[in-house]
Parts: sequence; structure tokens; C-alpha cells
Amino acid sequence: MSEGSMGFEQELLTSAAEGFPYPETPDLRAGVRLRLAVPQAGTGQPWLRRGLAAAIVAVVAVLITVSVSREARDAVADFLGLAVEGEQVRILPTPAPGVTATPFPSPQPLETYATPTTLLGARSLLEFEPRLPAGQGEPRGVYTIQYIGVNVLVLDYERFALWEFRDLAAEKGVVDKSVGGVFDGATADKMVERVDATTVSGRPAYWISGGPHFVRFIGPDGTPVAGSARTVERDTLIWRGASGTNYRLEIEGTLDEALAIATTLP
Amino acid sequence: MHESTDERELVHSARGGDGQAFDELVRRHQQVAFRAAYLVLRDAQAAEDVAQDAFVRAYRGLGGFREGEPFRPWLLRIVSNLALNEVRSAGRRRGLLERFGFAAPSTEPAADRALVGGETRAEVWDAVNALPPDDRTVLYLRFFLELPEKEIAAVIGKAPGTVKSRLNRASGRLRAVIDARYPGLRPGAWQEAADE
Repeated sequence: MSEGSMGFEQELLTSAAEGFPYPETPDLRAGVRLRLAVPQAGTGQPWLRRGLAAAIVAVVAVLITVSVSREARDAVADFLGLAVEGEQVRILPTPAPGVTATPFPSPQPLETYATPTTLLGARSLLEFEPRLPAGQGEPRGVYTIQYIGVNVLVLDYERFALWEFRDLAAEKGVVDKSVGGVFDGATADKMVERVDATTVSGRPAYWISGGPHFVRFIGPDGTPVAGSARTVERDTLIWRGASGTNYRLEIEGTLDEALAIATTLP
Repeated sequence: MHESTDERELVHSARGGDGQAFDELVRRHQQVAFRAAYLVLRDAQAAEDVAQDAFVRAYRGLGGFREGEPFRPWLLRIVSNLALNEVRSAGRRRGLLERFGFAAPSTEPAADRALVGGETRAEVWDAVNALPPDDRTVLYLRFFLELPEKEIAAVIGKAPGTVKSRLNRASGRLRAVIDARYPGLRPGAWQEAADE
């Protein structure tokens, strides 16, 4: 194609391309290495389909959340009193003499209730940017779990699992709807020994330690999400990051170790 | 790794599982991959995502890559396919959301639109993006990424002799889009504007 034979549209293209203001090219190497290190999803396309379905359901969830979430959250928080944004802790009473403690779910392997994916797959589903703790290498597994249309991310490392979740509406200034650790009317004869208030980068946090505890998610209408209850045997640090993401760091380690990991997250 | 290390050596080493060699391939080609994706997607974050994915797929597909062939067109083919797939998927997602009343009709990313700067440049970009995917790709490769025709042929998987006709066809369609939607870009319009 010689200059002389150029139509006006080709001259336009040449002109538009000259000095085209591309954004600065990011260094892709770390991200590529990370993606190569995590397990492959089954195929390249199913996550796109899951992303499509999640997008629709999640939008519906936002509409519901806007109308009822704050009220539901406040009611739960008032009742419990011990909470960080988006997550509450309740110390269950021991059963009365002669009463059997409430049976809680047996701890289950992550693989039994979470869907393995890749970071790329997770990013396509989540309504927030997944975060990796610095200095910990790549997770040995990446999982998502969908609760009533909202996706939770779980990064599985050898010594800890990091749960990340955030309501779509949180980005719009609406409170988070996911709440953990509430079992109304339940009793327990083995429970965590301590729940300590602490901080992560100056933000309120709780360290739950000394024994198993129980978690479930509460929907925007204040009712438990079916299938979300699980028993956690590791000690756990819970907090909400400055980015608006809620974190649960379930770890085989000390509070200091947990804080060292937590402070690398936004 | 030294800049002069032959690309064929890098590809060979990467095929053997040498992560450092592949890292070097990423470093050398990340700009063109990112820009190729950006031109189609018009969103920097989405372009980064697609470019990373393209490198991952390239690495995993190295076993089927013919040694001795240039790496860049093969990579750009992957980038181009992924970017166009993403555009189609995003369109379907948006269409469904619109159907259920949850999303506004399609609009391009405002921030990136502003980034382009210059009304003419932005309109040319808009006009190219209104073309069918194949036409769009060939124009971006030739005029924006300035690839030689032989390399364009490798990216689009056609014989080198067909590139010129593809470019002509795409240019003709672009002219039609400009006539219909962006008449201000026509040469006559420039003259009229200059005369005013």
C-alpha cells in the first residue's frame, strides 16, 4: 500500500494512530507467573458462563440489599454487640444440665463446598478485585463460593485460608450483608476460648482462638443462607479492610503471624 | 537475560519449562500485547487481564508452537481472539442485563474515551470499533501497531497475498461508516471547517 494510493480513511487512520495515547503498559510478568502457578480451570469458557449468571443474580441482590440490608444488619449488630463491619461474633451459651449441645456441622474439606477456579476465573466472577497477601507466594488453590448470588473468594495456602467477600452494594456506600458466627438459640459445649479485639492497620478486628468456631452467612433479609454453615477449627482473624473487602484469615499460627499477613492487604 | 538472546532460544527454553525464558518473552512482547488488547477493549484493566491471559495460554500452548516461527504474530493472534471474545461476551452480558432492566444501554468507558484526546482521533477510534471484528483487527494491526503485511497475515491466519485485499475491504467499510455516522471526518468537511 503506497502513500499515493491511500484513501482519506487510511490517512485518517495513520493520523489517529500517530502518538496514540495508550495507557502505560503494566508489567505483566508477575501476573502471568501467578496465573501459571494456580490450578487451571477445567476449560477456558465455563467461567465466562458462570460470570454471566452471577452478574444477573448479583444485580438482583443489590436491589434487595439497598432496601433491607441496613435494617437487618443493625438488628443483628444490636443483638450481638461484638462486630466488625460485615461480620459479627457471638459467644454461644453452654447447654443447661441434661441438655445436649446443638450439633454443629462437621468440618468439611474446602473442595466439598467450594468451586475451584483460577485467579482469572475468580476476577471474572467477583465484583471486587481479589487481593493476595504479600510475601506468601501463590495460593495452592483458588476457590469461589456463591451465596445467594454473591461470590466469596477463598485463597487456600498451606497454613491458612483467606476468605474475601464484599457486597456489590458496598461500593455504593450501602452496608455489607454478609454476617458470620450467629446461631440463634444454639448452645455449644466446646467453643472458642477467646475472642480478642485487635486492629489491622488501625481498623477494628477480632481474633478468635483456642478452639473451633462456627460460621454461617446471613442474607440481606436477615435470615441464614442455606448451606453456608460450617465449622472452623483454625484460629481466625476477621476484619474489614480499608478497600471495603471483608476478610477472614483462618490460620494455623499465632495472632502475630496472622497480623503480619493481614497488614499486607488493603 | 541478555537482550540479544535469540527469541528462538527463548521459545525453545520456555518449551522445556524454563520460566525465566518465558518471563523474558513476556517482557519483550507485553507492550504490543497490551496495546493490541486495549485497542479492541478500550479499557486498560480489561486489556491487562486479556494480555496476561494470552501469555498464559501461549505458555500452555508452546507444545504446539512450531519452533522457528516468530513468536509475536502467534501471540497477537491469541490476544486478538481473546479480546474479541471478551467484547462479544460483554455484549451478551450487557444485553441480558438490559433485557431485565438492570443496566443502561452500551456506552464506551468514559475515562478511556477521555484519554484518547482530540475529537478526530476519538471519532476515528469509534468508527473502527463499529466495524466487524475481522476488519477492525486488520486495521489495528496495520495502522496502529504498524505490523508488516507478512506478520499481519500470520496473525489473521491468511496467506500474505490476501492482506492487501483485506485492508482494502476494511478501509472501504470504514469509509462507509464515516460517511454514515461521522461525516465530519470526510475530507470535504475538513475543508469546510478550514474555510470557516
